[in-house]
Amino acid sequence: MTSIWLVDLTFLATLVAASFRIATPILFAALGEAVAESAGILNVGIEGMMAIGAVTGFLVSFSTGGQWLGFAAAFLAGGVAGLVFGYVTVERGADHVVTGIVLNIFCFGLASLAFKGLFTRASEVPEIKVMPIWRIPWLSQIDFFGRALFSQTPAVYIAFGLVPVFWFLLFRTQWGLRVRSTGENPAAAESAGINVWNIRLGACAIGGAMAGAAGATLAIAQLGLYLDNMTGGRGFIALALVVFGGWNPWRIAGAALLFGGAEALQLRIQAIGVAIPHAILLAVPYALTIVVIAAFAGKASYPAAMNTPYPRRSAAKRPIGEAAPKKPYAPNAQTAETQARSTLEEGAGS
Amino acid sequence: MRMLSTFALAATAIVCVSAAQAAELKVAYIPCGNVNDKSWSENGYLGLLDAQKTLAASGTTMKLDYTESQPASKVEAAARDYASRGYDIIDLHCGTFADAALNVARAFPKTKVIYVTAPPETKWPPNFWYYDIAQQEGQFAAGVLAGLTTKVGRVAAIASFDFPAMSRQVEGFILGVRYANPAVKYSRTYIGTWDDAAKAKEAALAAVDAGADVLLADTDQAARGAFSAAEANNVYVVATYADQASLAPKSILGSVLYDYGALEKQMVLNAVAGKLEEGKAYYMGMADGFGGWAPNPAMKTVIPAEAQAKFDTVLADIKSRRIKVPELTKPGDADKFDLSTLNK
Repeated sequence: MTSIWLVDLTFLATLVAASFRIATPILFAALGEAVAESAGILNVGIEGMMAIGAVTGFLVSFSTGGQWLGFAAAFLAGGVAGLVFGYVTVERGADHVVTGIVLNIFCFGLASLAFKGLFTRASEVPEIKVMPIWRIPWLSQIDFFGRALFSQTPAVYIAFGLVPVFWFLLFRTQWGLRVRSTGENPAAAESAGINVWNIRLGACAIGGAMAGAAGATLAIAQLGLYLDNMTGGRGFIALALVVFGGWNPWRIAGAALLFGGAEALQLRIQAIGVAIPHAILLAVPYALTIVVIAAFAGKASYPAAMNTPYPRRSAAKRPIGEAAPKKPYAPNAQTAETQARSTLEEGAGS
Repeated sequence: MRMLSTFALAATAIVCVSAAQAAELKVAYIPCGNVNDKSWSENGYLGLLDAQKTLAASGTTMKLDYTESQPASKVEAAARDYASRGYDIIDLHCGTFADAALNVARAFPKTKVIYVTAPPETKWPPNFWYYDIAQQEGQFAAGVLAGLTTKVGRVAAIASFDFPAMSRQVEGFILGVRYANPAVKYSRTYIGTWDDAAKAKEAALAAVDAGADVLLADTDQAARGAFSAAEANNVYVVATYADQASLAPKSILGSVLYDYGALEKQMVLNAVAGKLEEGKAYYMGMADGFGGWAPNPAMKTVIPAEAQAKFDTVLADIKSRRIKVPELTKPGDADKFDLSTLNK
């Protein structure tokens, strides 16, 4: 009896450890996307930005031998890709979805080109050392779950450590309020003195940088190599989890863990050899995500101005032809900001 | 990138068409993945390059173009494009391109279309041939080796998709495991991807968590994830499609080879010579000289001598048709298969 109990607990511990590993790259991307979407930017190009992060992280680690340098470079490269997206959508007023799709294709091609340009038919196999596991002193000594949770690569700790940081930034700082105001009603935000364009550009950069970190997690922390299409749709899963998580970092982390847990469980069920058709097991994480989103979608209140291009800077300053958007009556900036604050405070969440 | 390369291809092709002379033979190659993937797609490409060399020696210039890494939905357009530009042979080297292959063969009766694996339809146009290798044979031998090498008595197969050309390999492997030692436990994991190495790594880690100490990595580039998991946990892994021992020398027991490239070379040479028989299935096995095993030299000290000897016997028996490995295409078929019927 005890032995069965021990086996079960060991099984659970490996399941939990795997859930966190699988959730990590998705969580990175989803946290960044949550900021972008809160500012009204729907960036469906994060999958491609993950590829940029993966290839940059790999190449920098490979050529310098520094894994952290690679990680930082991936973060920066993702941020630059995010700014490109920002320039096209915020400054030039292009449609977010179309731009995101185009950027996905472009980023995948660019990543592949950068890698192949350096390694096509090279006799050596380009590989780097996988980021080592950091065992947290004392905590990792705790039986089962301590070992599962605190014997992970640093990428896992960083991703989950960023959850409270992102929550604080979005819901407890002036910057966060500005981001959310911009996502709800950019015209009101602008009349309150917020530089809507800069806020959105910043949100794009953060979204891209976090996608870059997600790619670097795959390349540097999990595999130690770069492969075309290695992102495997994780960026799109992240997009779905942001909605399911209601743009709240805590709930997004929960959603990422739910997906990671379902994936880890189905792989374990297959590995144990339970006679359930593989096709059904493979679909479980995705089906679960769809079901949960369907169940919560009614409650999901999208940032009202999401995927609505705001007039370009120059157009806003000096309207040519087309009329500037109607701004709500705001006798002074103070009142508008107070209004924005009172509407947003309701959705602030825990 | 893909679009760019397609455009570039189209552009060069147009230039070449205007410059080409009638004597030139034109072959188009359309594989699943990239022609430098060190696996499935590269294997076929190398075979065609080989055919090019052989033909050049006999005075025929063979022009070889390829369109790589396209989804099945876009392949028919690419193949029609080649056919309408007068390509003599189109080789569709991907198990999901059956519809495209048959449609193009029907629409362009003068173009010879060769396609890998048996198509679902049994009526083919006269200019269509399929070629295939009995992949279950090599996997059976690998399964025997895995069953004899596992110390804990548990092995795990990790494969891409649950479709006949893939599951026949997994079932062959498991049949081999059972043949080596009926007491060894086994599992099958399908990961639903060719590319996602991180997912393959998690699948391999799940198998290791479940207690397996020998794995089969039967997928494309995602296999790199399984190798990584094997290296990190000091377990062994069987590679597939190409000699991949250099990717994880301390973990890879050896690689199951299928020689599709050699078969494609033969198909092209026969097509040029007009020797392909109408309606014939070119389904080849080890007895015909196709398929084999690439040992990893570093494993000499790891694999017990007895196991190696038994493995060699099994390979020889398959080649001499003393063991006939059945093609089992449904997951689970190998569980109940009567092993005594293997030797007829």
